Amino acid sequence: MIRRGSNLRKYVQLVSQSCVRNNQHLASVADNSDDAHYPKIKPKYPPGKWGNMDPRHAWMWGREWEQIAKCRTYQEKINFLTEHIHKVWVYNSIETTPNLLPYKGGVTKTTVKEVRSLEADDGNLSAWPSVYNSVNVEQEFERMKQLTIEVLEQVENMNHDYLKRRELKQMHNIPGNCVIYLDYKMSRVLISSLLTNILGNLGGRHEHILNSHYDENSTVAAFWNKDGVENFKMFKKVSPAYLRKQSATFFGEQAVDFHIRKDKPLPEFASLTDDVCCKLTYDKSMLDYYPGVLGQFYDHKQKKISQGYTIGDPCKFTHLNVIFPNNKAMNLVSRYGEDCRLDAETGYLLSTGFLTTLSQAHALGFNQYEEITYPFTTQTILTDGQNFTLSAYQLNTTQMWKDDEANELQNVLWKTKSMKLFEKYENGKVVGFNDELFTMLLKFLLIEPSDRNGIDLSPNIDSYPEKQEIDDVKFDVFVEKPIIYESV
Amino acid sequence: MVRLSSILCRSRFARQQKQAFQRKGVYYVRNSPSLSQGILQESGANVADPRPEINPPPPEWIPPAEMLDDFRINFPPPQDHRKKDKSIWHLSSRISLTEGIDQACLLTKTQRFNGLPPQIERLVDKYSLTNQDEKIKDVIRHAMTWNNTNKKLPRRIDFERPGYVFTREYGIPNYKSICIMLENYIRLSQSFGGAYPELTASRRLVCKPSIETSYEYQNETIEIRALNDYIVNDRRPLNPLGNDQMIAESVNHELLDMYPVSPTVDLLRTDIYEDLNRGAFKEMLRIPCSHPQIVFRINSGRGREANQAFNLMTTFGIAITEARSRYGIGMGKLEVPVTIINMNISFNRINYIVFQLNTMDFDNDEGIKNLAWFDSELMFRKHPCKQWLEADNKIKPAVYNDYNKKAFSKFLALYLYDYVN
Repeated sequence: MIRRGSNLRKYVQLVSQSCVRNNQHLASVADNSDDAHYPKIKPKYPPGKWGNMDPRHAWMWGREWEQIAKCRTYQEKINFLTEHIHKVWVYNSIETTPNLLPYKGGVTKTTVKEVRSLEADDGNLSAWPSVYNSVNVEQEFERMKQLTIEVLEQVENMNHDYLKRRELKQMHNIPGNCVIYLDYKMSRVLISSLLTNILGNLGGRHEHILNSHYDENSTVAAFWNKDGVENFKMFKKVSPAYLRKQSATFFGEQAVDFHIRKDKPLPEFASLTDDVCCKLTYDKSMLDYYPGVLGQFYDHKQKKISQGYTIGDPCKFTHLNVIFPNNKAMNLVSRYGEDCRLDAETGYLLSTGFLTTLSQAHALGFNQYEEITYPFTTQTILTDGQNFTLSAYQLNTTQMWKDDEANELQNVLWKTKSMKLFEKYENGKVVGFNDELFTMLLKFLLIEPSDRNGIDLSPNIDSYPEKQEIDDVKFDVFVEKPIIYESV
Repeated sequence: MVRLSSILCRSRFARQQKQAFQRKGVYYVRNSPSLSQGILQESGANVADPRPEINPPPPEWIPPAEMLDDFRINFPPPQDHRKKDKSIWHLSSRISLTEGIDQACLLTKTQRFNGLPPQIERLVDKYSLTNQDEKIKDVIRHAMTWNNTNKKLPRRIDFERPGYVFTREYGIPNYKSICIMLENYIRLSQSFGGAYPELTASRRLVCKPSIETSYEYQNETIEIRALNDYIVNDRRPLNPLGNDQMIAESVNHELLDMYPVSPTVDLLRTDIYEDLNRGAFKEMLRIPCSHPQIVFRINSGRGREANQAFNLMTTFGIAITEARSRYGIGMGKLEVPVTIINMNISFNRINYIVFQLNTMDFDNDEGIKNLAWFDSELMFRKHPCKQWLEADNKIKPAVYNDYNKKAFSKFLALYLYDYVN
């Protein structure tokens, strides 16, 4: 006896399906089409380039890609990306372990170009970006040079006893040399005096400098996945539904001492079709090692994106970063020797440029699923007030989780050697001012942002939150009615 | 229930062994005479005690001649045997004057005026930037919301609901907001250098200059120490605002009478070893741009009256160092008065002081007085969220309104004074 209920329902379903199939078959026979006979076959990879990736991993990335593409506001995208707590490798801005520059470059897919002179492009791949040739500083040079020399002399002759007094109060019970912190404060005072004077002067004649935003101690943070790095060891059994990803997740966070931002991006330093961006020359030698062996640590963290400002600010693009080398980590590394210190400084410039551009890209709707449509550029200066190291960084790709066959782009860092702005102070006067370096510093400040030939700078985001209204002050106005007296 | 095992059932002798050792375990070697010892002595043998050779006693510890300082021990500070020069009255940012601006005017022999001088009032709203209001509102938004500093803020207390415990907030501290606003206001003011090149040709902005100076007030020394945020210097000083008639009429002005209370009642008594007369620069005349013109300061959380009083004293200290560098010490009435402008910012209020130093004679309250003009403007109002009224009890962003464009217009007028027509 057939039980009513579920059995009857199943029987009815089977019959109806066979009827449909028979009908489809009959229909296709009538049409002579073969498609109705077989269901669609899933292709090996989703649409796009995937190289030698495991198809299961590729389909997992593809599914997440579709989900994030549906999010059309910045907040929705960030909530999707930073929802869960993950195990990440912590990417340090300054590595206290020596000889890790190849690791830093490999993990961020960045090639480092040491520039010998500040002269521009002569067809040499290692030359400074040619964009700076078109920046004219002749009109401002003499005035700014005189201003800079006077500011340097003023700061030298100023009374800094309050800095030394505070220094002693903080460090009196710890033996040893505590000059590093005093050096940092003195450098900071010098650079903030220079920047406030120079930017104020130039703002009168250059609209883009007047409208820029200037921040101190802003935090930049970003996370990314890199292919080819050995991932965490999984000791417990995993269900087939959860697949161990090929790529490892990295997270970097850093405070930038001085941060200048503008409403349009810098011009690109090299085209995406140039050899410096397409020919993969970044150092992969250390990617074979498990990061724990190289002195790296992992942590359980909620992923975070911080671009140095909160959303709503119209100045979304980083123009210039200024960072200082006199801190505890750099002091530790310098004990290994001069070479290790120079490598650590290069790594510091690399991580600053990479983190600022990557977090910037997230703010404009790009991420590791949605590739950037134009390169992001930024400039960084590493200085202690007297010695300056200049660098320019271009971010060409955010999809570092794809292997080299699928993603043929790399990021580029151009970097100069350390140069002195002036030789020394003599009787309170500056001696040996370096005109060539100062010309380059002016170019860094005066280079105009561009709208990149009118392309859509945030194609994945429909709208940003509007500015908060601030109403004008209201004054109460009392209107008195005229008193009319009745005649007696 | 405990499972019986061999370990549980074993007998315990630990206490008995201890007690036995206490009673019988110690063997005292006494130098009591024994039979064998007596026999050996009779035979003439030498009896020696081997114990000092087997277990020699430890050597006596002699402390070293020089002991290193042990950082774990708090040593008292070394006594200062220098000859104390004198004891003085000390003014610093921690002190608040009871009578406020009037007491500060008494200490500095100053005649007080409310409102800005007429020469500066004429410049208000005469010069402005393109889209000035929108730019200033952007500055306020940048300082209050767009900066991504995420520090722990002090727990809020709202007098509308006294016992209410607000949830912990993270955001931009007030001091940081004020720094951002001040920097942007100065940069916007400096942009007028494009139209008036003299503004930027010789004017220089100095960051974090400190002032340490002292002066004689009615046979007592008062020391002023202050750390300012910015000072605008130039090759030439500002032109005085009060004319000769005003200076002559100031003789008739009567200062506050605090008798029997001394005007220095709020100041601290300290000992000094040297007289201080340090301005922002070590040697003022060697540096080209060394005449201070404008002082910018960020106030700590005190009332408007207390802030203005302290700022008047610091401006007075800067004016004294400038006057001494020009005319030396011991000068009475100055040939050309020293004019210094002070603009100090609290959270949403700017206070303005224009100070003119006419005399360095502080032996009595008579004679010509110095002149000071005071004014103040509210920039905007902040209305934080009333958490107890929200349905889900969550904190929402604060609302800003009552934007006052006159605040920046006066700021600009004071910055441009003496450089524009």
